[in-house]
Amino acid sequence: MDWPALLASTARLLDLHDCDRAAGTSLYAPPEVRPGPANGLWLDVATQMLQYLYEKDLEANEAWISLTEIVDELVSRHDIDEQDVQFVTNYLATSTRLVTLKEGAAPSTLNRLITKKETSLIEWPRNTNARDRCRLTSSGSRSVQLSQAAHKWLYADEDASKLIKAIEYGAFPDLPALAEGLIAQIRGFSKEITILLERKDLDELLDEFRQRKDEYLAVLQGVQGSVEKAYETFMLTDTLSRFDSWVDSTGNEDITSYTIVQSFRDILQAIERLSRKLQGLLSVLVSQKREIIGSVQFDKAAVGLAFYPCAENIVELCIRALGPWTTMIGAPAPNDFTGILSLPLEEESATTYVFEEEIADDLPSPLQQFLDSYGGEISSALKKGPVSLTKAVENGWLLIDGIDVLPQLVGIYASPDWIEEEGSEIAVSLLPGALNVELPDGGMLRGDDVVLHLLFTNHENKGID
Amino acid sequence: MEIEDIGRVYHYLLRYRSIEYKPSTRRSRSGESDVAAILRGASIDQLDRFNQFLSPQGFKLIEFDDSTRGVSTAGRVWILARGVEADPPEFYTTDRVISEIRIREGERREDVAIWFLHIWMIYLSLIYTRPGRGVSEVSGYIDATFSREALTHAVEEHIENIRQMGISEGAESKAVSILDAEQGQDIPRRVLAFLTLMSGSGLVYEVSKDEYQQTLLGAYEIAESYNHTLRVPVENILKNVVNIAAPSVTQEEEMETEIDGVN
Repeated sequence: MDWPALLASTARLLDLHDCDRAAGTSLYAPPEVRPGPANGLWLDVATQMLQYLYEKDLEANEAWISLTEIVDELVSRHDIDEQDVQFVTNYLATSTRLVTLKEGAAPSTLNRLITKKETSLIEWPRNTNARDRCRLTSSGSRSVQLSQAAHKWLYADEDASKLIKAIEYGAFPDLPALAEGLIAQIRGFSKEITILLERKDLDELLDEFRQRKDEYLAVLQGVQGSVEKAYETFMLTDTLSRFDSWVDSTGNEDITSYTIVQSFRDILQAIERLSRKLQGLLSVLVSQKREIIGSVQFDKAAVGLAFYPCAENIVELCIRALGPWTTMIGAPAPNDFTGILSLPLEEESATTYVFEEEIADDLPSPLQQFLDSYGGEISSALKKGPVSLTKAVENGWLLIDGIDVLPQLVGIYASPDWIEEEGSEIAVSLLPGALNVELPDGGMLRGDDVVLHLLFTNHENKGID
Repeated sequence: MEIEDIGRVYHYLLRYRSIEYKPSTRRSRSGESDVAAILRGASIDQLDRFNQFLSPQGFKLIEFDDSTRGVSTAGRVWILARGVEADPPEFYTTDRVISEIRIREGERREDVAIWFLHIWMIYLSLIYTRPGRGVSEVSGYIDATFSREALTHAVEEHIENIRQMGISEGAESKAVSILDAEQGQDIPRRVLAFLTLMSGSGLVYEVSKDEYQQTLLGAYEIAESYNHTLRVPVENILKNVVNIAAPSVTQEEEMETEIDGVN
């Protein structure tokens, strides 16, 4: 049970919910005033109560649970009486009013969402005054489950198998979120390994790794197997046709087969990197070689070195090995000189420039190369529906053999007649401010999004009017 | 990874010391996405061969992925780190350390080196000692932020502390007199020069005006080489000189949980 983690993650949010500051007024630090003696007593009684009810509910299956046993236990655990326990159970059974905001149906509108009933964690039998038995509400059960939530690597295998289930159930929109969750788990475990490799005083954790290393490796293999199986299942003709039907029926443009396949590849790459890191840690564990340097009192050492300086050559050695360094010679790139080249022809030059008249026009132009590579794909996509510049970037029509063809892609949007076919016409529309997409090199395209629409194909109107 | 690719990556690394694919806190530098693409496309064998090329020069290429704190999702960072196995090449120099930290004509090289050492130690205390961070904690680089003002203030405090302590019996006056001779804007000027040097070498990164952060390269190099370098003078002084007054700064409270008896 990790109640502190659950409380810590919500305490500030509740503080802000109750914050009385009016928008636009002066800033102030959160008042760190919490009424009560801060001895954790009532919280402990409450969490013990919730846990007890949760465990009993597993057997009772939502039947009312007698409080006698837990009251006795709590009274002996703390210096409290039955009425004190009653106070806590009443508190947990009383609902409170929470206000949150959510997006409204109309654009840029926010609506208030009032939550009250769900805030009570336990409930009494209705229409009676009986207070000797109660049970958890669904919120109460959730609070216990959240306190138990352990995103440990040992359970990652189960999460990976959810990918297969999601495909089997046709729950395609769940796949990206499941993949992201799994990658987050892999990354989290990888960070744990990093901490073990970097920090001292973690012998307990190291021992746990030693003891569980076979299980960790088994989970790693299990996760890899599940992801590979999910990938294979998704690539089956039957699954792909179910996916296409799902796309057609929902009109979803956000999830494509490419993005799903890419999710699987991302997970597999993350697994491979984790595997390397885990092997590194295991080899350290096996060899017992773990040279970790802990905290060093550099400030104290600096004071000491003022009064008892070390040899000058040691200072020089340290600076040479760890200090800032430069190259003795300049190593400019060829382009660095471009600015200092003087190109004008001298007035009295003895040299006459001769230009070759033959132009190598057998090489395809960059635009032609672009059309050869992606023209067909763009046309096919247009037959299915409008294609925005954002979508084009997401589809990866940006590189040919590693060469950036963004100018050519934008050129197509400026002059779409390059991809027009006989009997078709392409129209261009603008979505103001809708373009906000990241390029593979980290750059951003922002502004109005440009959308291509195929108007006529074989005299059928399939686009906009 | 063709020969020309190796040349391009090598040249870039000598200039900037690191290459980042999908940088999380800054825009890509000119040409960075090209060299990042070369390294991303390189096979393990090719990277091994590149490291074989770097090794005799005392360098190694280290790769970090997004399981490292501060590396963006699906991002990658490669650093050109100095190894401890081989001497650096002939073109390698630390002479600029002296020329930049020297703020007066005629200052002796040794005196300037003392200034650098002390600013360096206080810089390290700011990002390691005070937050209770171990030297091996490479991934702590992301939390190793400080302002120029904070470093200047810490160095000023250090010098003032030394002045107040005075020379005791058995101590040497040479370094103390060099540090004690500072006046006016000497410390701010030397600290600025120190930060310029460290930024130029890719060991710290200027996040915004006068706000700095240690880089992954800076954290990796000290974790790898501390035992062969600074450990010697630092341990020697801490072990043998017992009467060093505790610095005026207090260690930050980093306790995550406090456990005390209830009953």
